[in-house]
This record gives sequence, structure tokens and C-alpha cells, in this order.
Amino acid sequence: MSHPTNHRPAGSNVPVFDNTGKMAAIIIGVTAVVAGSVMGAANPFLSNATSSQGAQIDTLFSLFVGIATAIFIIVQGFLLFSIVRFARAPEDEEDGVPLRGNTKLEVFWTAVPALIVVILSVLSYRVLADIERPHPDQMVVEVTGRQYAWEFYYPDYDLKTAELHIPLGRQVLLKITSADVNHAFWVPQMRIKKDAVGGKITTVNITATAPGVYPIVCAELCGAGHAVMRSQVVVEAEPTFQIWVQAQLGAKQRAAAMPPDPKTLGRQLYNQYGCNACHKLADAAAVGVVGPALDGIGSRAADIVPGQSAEEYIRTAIIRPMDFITPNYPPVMPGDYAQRMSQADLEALVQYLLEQK
Amino acid sequence: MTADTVVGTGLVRHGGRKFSDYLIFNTDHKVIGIQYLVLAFVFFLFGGALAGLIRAQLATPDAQLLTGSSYNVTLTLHGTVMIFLWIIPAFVGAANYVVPLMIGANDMAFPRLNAVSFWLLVPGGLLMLVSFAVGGAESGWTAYPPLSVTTPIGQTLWALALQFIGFSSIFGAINFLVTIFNLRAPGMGLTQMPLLAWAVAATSIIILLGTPVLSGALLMLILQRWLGAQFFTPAGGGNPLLWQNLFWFYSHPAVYIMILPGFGIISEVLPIFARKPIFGYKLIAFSSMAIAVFGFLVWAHHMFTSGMDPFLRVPFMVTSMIIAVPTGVKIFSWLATIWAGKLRFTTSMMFGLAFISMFVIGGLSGIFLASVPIDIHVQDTYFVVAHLHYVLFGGSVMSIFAGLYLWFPKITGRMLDERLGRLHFWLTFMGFNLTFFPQHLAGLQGMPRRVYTYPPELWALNLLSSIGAFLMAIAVLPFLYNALRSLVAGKVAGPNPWRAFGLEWTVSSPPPVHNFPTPPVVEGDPYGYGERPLPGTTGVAAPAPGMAGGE
Ligand code: HEC
Ligand SMILES: [Cu+2]
Ligand SMILES: [Cu+2]
Repeated sequence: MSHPTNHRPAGSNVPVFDNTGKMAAIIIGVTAVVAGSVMGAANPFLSNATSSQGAQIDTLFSLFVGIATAIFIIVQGFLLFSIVRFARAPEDEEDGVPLRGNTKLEVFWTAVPALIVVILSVLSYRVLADIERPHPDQMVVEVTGRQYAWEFYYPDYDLKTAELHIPLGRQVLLKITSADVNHAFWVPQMRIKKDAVGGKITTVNITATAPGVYPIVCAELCGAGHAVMRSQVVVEAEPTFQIWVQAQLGAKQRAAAMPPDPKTLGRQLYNQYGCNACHKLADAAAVGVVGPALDGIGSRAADIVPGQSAEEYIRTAIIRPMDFITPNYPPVMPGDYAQRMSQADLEALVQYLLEQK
Repeated sequence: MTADTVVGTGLVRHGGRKFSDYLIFNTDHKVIGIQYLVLAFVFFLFGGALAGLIRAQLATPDAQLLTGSSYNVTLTLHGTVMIFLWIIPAFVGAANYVVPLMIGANDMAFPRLNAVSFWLLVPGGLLMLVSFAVGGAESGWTAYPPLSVTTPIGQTLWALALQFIGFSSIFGAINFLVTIFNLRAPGMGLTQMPLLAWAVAATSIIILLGTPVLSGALLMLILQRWLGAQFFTPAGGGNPLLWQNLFWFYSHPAVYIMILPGFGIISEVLPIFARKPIFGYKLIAFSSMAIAVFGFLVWAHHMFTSGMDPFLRVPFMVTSMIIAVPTGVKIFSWLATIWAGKLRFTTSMMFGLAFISMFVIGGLSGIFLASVPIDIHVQDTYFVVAHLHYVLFGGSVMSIFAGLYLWFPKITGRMLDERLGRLHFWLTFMGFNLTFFPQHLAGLQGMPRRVYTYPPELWALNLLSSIGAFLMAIAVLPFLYNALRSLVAGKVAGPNPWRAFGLEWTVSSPPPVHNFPTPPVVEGDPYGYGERPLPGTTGVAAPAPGMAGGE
């Protein structure tokens, strides 16, 4: 390719802002407004939130989606238009129009985005203040995250559980902390998230607006089992919730009054220590899939590690899970049962599992 | 101020005359630039391979390829390598090579310090690999304690590696600042500087203010791990949030360390291939500096759900929103730069245009994240993963490739093949969007980051991501082949294949060891398209029209 000259009187044949340019600007602008409104109104990215806080966050989110869509279309629109319109003809060696700036335009595109983000900040602040406003008859639940399970304590009832039950429509204040590393308590359907940090209590409000069962997810990397650190929140109407509470309390009292038979105790411990979250076991109605199913563990435990009896194997598997990792499973079984379980609980659980023939 | 070290003897050399000059403590900024670029690219391939493993594991909900700790080690190393051993050093390498040439300097201000910076990166990178070999760090690139103080030895080596890399970065920043402010050719005022020089200056200021804080935090982490200090654990009176504050005080600005040079590169690429001056020079230069300052006032937006002081979230939200403005200004200025231009769609230009298109998506999702209520839902989810990859891949990596295609002829004296370049571009562009766009949705629908398994409902989105990642991996092949082949068989480039302004295009390709045999003459800023004739290739005087640009 030869360049007879590398410089010509510039801009001779590229009008800076001709009618085509104006038309394009108008079309891009109108499309941006229309598409922004449609996307903002439809918000196809989120299904309905199931908490009142989540609903407010979603409304804000929709507004952001609308504005982002409009800006997206403006930028991509001008970009695409320029690519098509200002593509150089093959033999055209001229330069473009030497435009070095335009003060009005530059002030405009500094000021307008600044205004937009200030408005978005104000609106965000209002939503934030709203969703964090405490309601006078809050119910308190204390949440503890630990590698890799959640534990819920109801101070009103002196009740401890592995899944969260909350009454529909009543504001619940979660007081969250961690027994070890950082975790984050997240209920995606409710748009609620808060970190669990050791030595600190963080708080978050939830007011459930739809009955149902929603996953609780750990959102802060907390170690090997982070991905499987899940539980669920059960939302039920106030009377049903009260029945559940009474049932739990009754079970607790019965357990305290007379020691249950070994089988019932075993089932109870199995669920209390969260084994059910990871290990399927028909007898305890457990459906976890993270670890191997423990159905029949009593008959096969003796043949797994040479030299270990069935009882020794099961006990070791619980208190020192790293000693032997079952092939094809991730090494994510919690390592702190030796500290968390009383000797009696441990032995009861081992005996219970030995009976699973 | 050139380093006239005895050439070609002993272990200290100056100038890249033969292959072995590149393997040694060499004080020529051009050699050092290439050393950085090659090392960074090797780490890019390594980090990319790790990403491939991650996407293979996530292609199905319950794969068993990488689970538990091994998955965490992989994602930690992927993040750390891509940030500290690919993007940052790739920019340092590119800037090392071109900035002295662009401002008419014969070398960096402190050539030996420059070599030291590079040679600190090498043990840093090696230690990072050793940490991997002994089991690896497994608490993410953010290394939040208490998790990062309980994990095995790999984490300590990880922290030590980052100390080396941090010092490399600090020394480099001092060098760039002194070079840019003291070694410009006579006649080049601050407003005649190429915008890349402004961007590198702003980046260097950020590094000088921020990286020492990271070094301090890493030292505390190492002390806690080795000597049982209790800075970050509540049991001993420490505070886990202390790390988060220190870490993000560095690491949010570090985002700008990873993007400002990209802004600079784009501000060079667009004028050349649009044949137009950059639009709004002063506002672009000023916005880089504004970002360097404001970048230090937004860090707590990473901690909105951490239980930090509830009221402080509000000012941090406002600053995080406002910092979008200088970035927006640049995007509009670039759009105005190509408007009414004579666009030539070279591969460099295509990466440059894609940068605008992709980066704006990362910028917009950033505004969502700045809003506290929205962040409550999306923090630590795949929405964030998508956001940061739109910024760091859609932005930074696209700009690195735009720069590589632009300056490859200058560096090697050979042209890259444009057809292979286009193949590389399109595979990258499509693969990138396929990989990362669905992740926004996965995050919104409940997928937290850093998990090796997920509920089956999220399978389709993840599968798309994994297919995209596969395309991106393939995309590297035409680039590698192109680069290697062009080195030996590429068309000879000549001094100024793009008919560009800018002093780097007035010297031969590759440039002579001491850059400018005669001092360059500066006629204005390097964006005089349509305004003045291209200068000749000797750097002595303006040539008659027609002398310049031999393709
Ligand atoms: C976070 C998930 C998780 C929890 C909670 C958990 N485990 Fe496990 N467990 C695993 C995994 C994964 C394995 C397989 C890998 C290994 O051997 O560590 C396993 C292995 C075992 C084994 C060996 C099984 C075999 O087939 O060889 C036993 C027995 C066991 N667990 C019992 C328990 C008991 C009892 C509890 C409750 C006190 C419990 N686990 C809690 C994940 C978990
Ligand atoms: Cu967790
Ligand atoms: Cu940030």
C-alpha cells in the first residue's frame, strides 16, 4: 500500500454531525429510553423475593436494571453506529476530522452521570434505612456458623435447631456470629446476606412474605466444605410455627425426663450434629448427598480399613475424619466433632451407626 | 541518563543483542519490558489452565475432578496468578518498553533498579509455584483470616511470594514516576505527554500509596502464622475485619492499578486507527488522576455485609458511586474519538473497541455493587465474579492484547498476521461473553462464589460458562502460533507501520539500544491526526509528505 501523502486537509468528506448522525442519535436515545423502561419494569433477572426486605431490594434493583440498560444501549449504540458509519473505505488514506474536544459536551457527560449516581445513592440509602428499621415485636434468633453447618438458637424458647423456622409476616432479628472462621449467612430468595464473624455479632432483619422452604447458603469461603455448608429456612404461618416450637420443646423435655431408647437417641443426635446434612440415612430420614450414605454402615465398616474393627472405624471416622478419606468423596467432613461432642453422645452415635445393618 | 554498564560482559548487561541478553540481569528498559511480558504471558497460560480446571469441575453440578481443598487451592492460585503475575506485570512490561520511547527518553531513570524490580518478580513467581507444590493456599486471593491463619504452610509461602511481588511493584512505581516527570524530551510539556504516560503516572502513585499497606498486612499475617501473633483472631484480642480493611485499602485501588494502564493503551490505540486526535485530552488525563485519589476512598464497599460500622456504609456507597463518573467520562471521550474518524479495523483496534464495549458492562455492574441494598444480595456471589471478569478480562486483558498487537511490530520489527489476529479476537470475544455473561444470572439466582458444587437448577448457566471457557482456551492457540511465526517470518514492519504519531514510531523497529541516536523533536502531543504532517523516521526534522509510513 502506498501513501502518496499522509496528510490531507482533514474532514473534507466526513461531516461531523450530519443528518444521519442526528438520526442515529435520536434512534439510539429513544431505544435506550424504551428498552430501559421495559427492562426496568420486567426485571427478568430475579424471581419474586420472599421477604419484605427482599421486595424492596428488588424494586431498587429493577430501577438500576432500567438505568443500566439505557446506558448500555447508548454506549453500544454509538459504538456500533460509528463502526458501521465511519469505517474507512479501502483506498481512503485521509485522516478523520481533528476534533479535540467540546467543552459543553464534556461538561454534559460529566454532570449527567454525576447526577444519576447521586440520585441512585439517595434512593439506595432510603431503601437501606427502611429494610434495617427494627419492628417493635421482633423475634430474635441467634445464628452460629461453624465449619460447615449452621446452628439456630431461639432465646425465647431456649431451643436449638439445625434448620431455621420463622413465622410468616413477623420480623425476625438474626444475631449472627461464627464459632470459627468467617461465614456469610445468605438466603438468596429473601435477598438477605450477612457475614458471620468470630467475636462479633452482626444483625439482619427478615420478614418473610411467602410460606415455603428456602435454602440457606454460606457465601463466604470458609474452607474445604464451604460449598456444602447449607441449611434451610422454613417459613410457616404463626400457628404452625407455634406448633413446631411446642413439638421441639416437647421432644426436648421428653429427652431430658427419661433417656430415650438408644435408637431414638441415635436418630436425634444424628440430626442434632448435622450428620443428616451430608449423609443419607433412611432410618433417620436423612437425605444429604455430600458424604457416603450411611445405610448399612454397620455391616461394612469392619472391612474398610484393615486392622480396624467396625466400631473403631466409625468412631475414627467421626472424631478424626482425615485419617481415612472414603474414595471419591471430598475431604469436607467437619474435623471438630471430638471437641463438640460429649463422650456419651459420641458413644451413643457410634452404637446407633453400628446397628445400621 | 543512560546506564552505560559495560555491554555484554559478566552478569550485568545492557541491551538485547542476542538471546542470552534476555535471560540475565539486563538494564535496558526494552529488554526488561520483554522479560516482563514473556514471564507474565507464561503465567497467563498457567492461570488460564487453572481456570480451565475450575470450569471443568463446574461444567456439571456434582463433578469430582476438584473438590474441597483442592478446588479452593485452584481458585486461590488462579486469582492470585492472574492479578499479580499476569495483569499487573504485563502492564509493567508494556509500559517499561514503550513509555521511555514515547516520552523520548533513552531509558528509565534508574535502569538498575528497573532490573531489580523484574528480578524480584521472578522469586515471587517461583515461590507462588512452590506454595502450590506444597499444598497451596486455600483461602482465596483475598486470604481472609481466620481461615487464612488456619490453613497449611502453602499460605505462608503465598504471603512471602506476594511480598516479593509487592516490592517489585513499589520499585517499579518510583522508577516510572521519576522517568515520566524528569526524562521527557525537551519540548514535551505535561500536556504533550501521551495519555499512557499519564495513566502510568497515576498507577504509580496508587502503587506507592497502596502497596506498602498490603506489605504491612501480609507481614502481620506471616507473624500471626509463624509466631502466633493474634492480629486477626478474636480469641487473642484481634479482629478479623482489620485484615479486610487493610487488604481492601490496597486491593480496591489495585483494581485501578490493573485498569488505568489499560485506559492509557486504549487512548493510544483509538486515535491511531481512527485517524483522529484523542477527544478531551485534558479531561482524560485529569480523570486518571481523580481516580488515583478517589480510588483510596471506596475500599469498604467490599465490606458492606461484613458487619462494619453501619453508618459508614453510606459515605462509602456515595464515593463508590461517584468514582464511576471519571470512568464514564473516559468512555464518552473514546466514543467521541472514533466519531467522524476513518476507522481501520486492525486486530489492535478490534480489541480496543471490544474493550469499550465490555468494560462498560463491568462498570455498570459495579454501580449495582456500590449500592448497599443490592450488594447485600449479590456480594460474594457469581454476580461479583462476572463483574470482576468484565473489568479485568473485558477491560484489562482486552487492552493488553490491543497493546500487544499495536506494539508487536515496534518490539520485534515484524508484523503479526492480521487474519490469525482476527481469529484470536473473535474466539476470545465470543468465548469471553459466553463464559461470563451467564455468571451474572447464576449469582442473582443464588450461586455463591468459590464453590465446587451447586444445585442442579444452575446447571445450564454453568455449562454455558464452561463452553465459553473452552473457546477462550482455544483462542490462545492462534495468538501463540501467530506470535512465534511472525517473529521469524512476519512481514518486516519498518519504523512506523501504522503511520502513527508518537516518538516511539520515529525510531527503527526494534529501536536502537539507546533509543534516540539524536534527541527527538517534539512537535505537539502524539495525537496530531488531521492536523499536522507525520514526522519522519529519523526523529530529526519533519519530512516531506510521503516519506513516512512504509507498509
Ligand atoms: C459437611 C458434610 C459432612 C458432615 C456434616 C458429616 N460428614 Fe461424615 N463424611 C462426609 C464426607 C464427605 C465423607 C467422606 C470423605 C471422608 O471420608 O472424609 C464422610 C465420611 C463419613 C464416614 C465414613 C463413611 C464410609 O462410608 O466409609 C462416617 C462413618 C461418617 N462420615 C459419619 C458422620 C457422622 C456420624 C456425622 C455427624 C456427627 C458426620 N459424618 C457429619 C461429610 C460429612
Ligand atoms: Cu461457611
Ligand atoms: Cu473495590
